[in-house]
Amino acid sequence: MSPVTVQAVVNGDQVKRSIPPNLLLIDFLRDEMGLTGTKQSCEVEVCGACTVLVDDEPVSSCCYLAADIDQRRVETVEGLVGTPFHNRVVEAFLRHAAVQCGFCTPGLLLTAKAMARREAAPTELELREALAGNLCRCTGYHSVLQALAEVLGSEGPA
Amino acid sequence: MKLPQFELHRPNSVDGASQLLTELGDDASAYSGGTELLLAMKLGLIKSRHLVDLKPLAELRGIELRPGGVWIGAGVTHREIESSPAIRAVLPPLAGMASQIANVRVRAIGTIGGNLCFADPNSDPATLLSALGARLRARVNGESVEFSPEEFIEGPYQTLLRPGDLLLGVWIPALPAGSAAVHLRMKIHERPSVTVAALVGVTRGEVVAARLAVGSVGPKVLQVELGEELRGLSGVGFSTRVRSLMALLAGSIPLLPERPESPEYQRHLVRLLGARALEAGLEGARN
Ligand SMILES: Cc1cc2nc3c(=O)[nH]c(=O)nc-3n(C[C@H](O)[C@H](O)[C@H](O)COP(=O)(O)OP(=O)(O)OC[C@H]3O[C@@H](n4cnc5c(N)ncnc54)[C@H](O)[C@@H]3O)c2cc1C
Repeated sequence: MSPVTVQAVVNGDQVKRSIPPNLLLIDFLRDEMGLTGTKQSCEVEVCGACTVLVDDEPVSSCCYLAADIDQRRVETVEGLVGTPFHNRVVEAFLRHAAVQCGFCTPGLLLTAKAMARREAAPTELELREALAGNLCRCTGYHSVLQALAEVLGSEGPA
Repeated sequence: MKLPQFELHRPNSVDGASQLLTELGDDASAYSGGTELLLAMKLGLIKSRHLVDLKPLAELRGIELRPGGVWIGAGVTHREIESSPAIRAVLPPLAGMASQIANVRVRAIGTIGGNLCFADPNSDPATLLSALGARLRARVNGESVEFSPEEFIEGPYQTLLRPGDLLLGVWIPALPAGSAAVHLRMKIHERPSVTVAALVGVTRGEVVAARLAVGSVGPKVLQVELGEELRGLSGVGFSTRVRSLMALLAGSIPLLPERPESPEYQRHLVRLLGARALEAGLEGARN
């Protein structure tokens, strides 16, 4: 395999690496960059645990070539830490008990972040549709919707 | 799961991609969003030693409003279709259909071309495009040729493209005056169990044209013209005829074997959703 050079911005930092073309983005992030906040679960683009943002769009890093981040911006949950959005989300998630085991949380936060950039105050339906691809085995979703509706400034479930 | 080894090629034109794919033959795959291809490669279902990246090809991108319809490049993502102001204005059911596919992540990078070329029988776009009378433009043997979706998709995971051939895009005629299109689907698992789409045209409140496409249950999309059967009808007469036509169609439509849904349930859904789509089409066309 001929290696591929990628030059990207990961969580605000310039990164340049030579990588094999078959390297998946999730393995690049976790193993090469040490960004283990991105979680591996279903591996078939269904559960959303491995969600990261590439140029603001959420993607499943388990089925995305690391080679394709060349000349793009990547955001993982580590990149959110310390931002006003993150502070508000953490506070709301704790208050609504929207976290239990926490495995799905990074993916949920990134999906919500992409949504926040796109819609000013998403309707409950828009929120539900955006989050439909992020599975959570603990919370039953209601608390997650309540917390995110609050943060995104929309009408949440009662 | 890791991906097997492969070489990644990035040609800079459709000609270049096609030439490369012809030379490499069965050893290569066109690679667009990769939402199906990379998955299938991880699972060992596709064993390509070369991927030819179509994403950078400007020729396959873009949504263009042209006289008489809309052109959508094969490399356009579901997300771009669902959020395109042009498509929302001219073909709202197409934007609505795209917004229902998969999840936000698959929509962000999965393309309409990849959906059609993978030819998974459980496809939303194939069904709606069939009802809309769309034409698929492909480069076949170096020449640009047009097909209907029913011709293009030969069966499960099988299109008429051969190594080196590429889908270029989809031409969708604008809805004829006095007509409406409706796409309905039922999803229990990740991909739809049943997809139906109707195009209904009316003049002075009565049906003058009707077409129904049923997908995701059989080996390929089934398109039926119902204009003859429904012409001149409205109200109760229309509903009664629709119910009996759908009972017939649902009873005889070929089903794929070994599906998680029982055949009875699939036929039930076809009957129900088909009737609903036609009813909603009439309603929409009258408004
Ligand atoms: C979790 C999940 C849920 C899904 N749910 C739905 C759903 O609800 N409804 C639905 O309709 N679909 C659904 N899909 C399918 C989805 O629409 C497709 O995965 C996507 O559109 C494929 O596009 P791609 O660009 O990623 O294709 P790729 O994976 O890049 O390619 C797919 C195939 O098409 C070939 N190909 C791609 N572009 C071309 C071209 N221009 N010319 C020739 N060959 C080409 C490739 O060689 C490959 O064989 C789902 C998929 C996933 C993973």
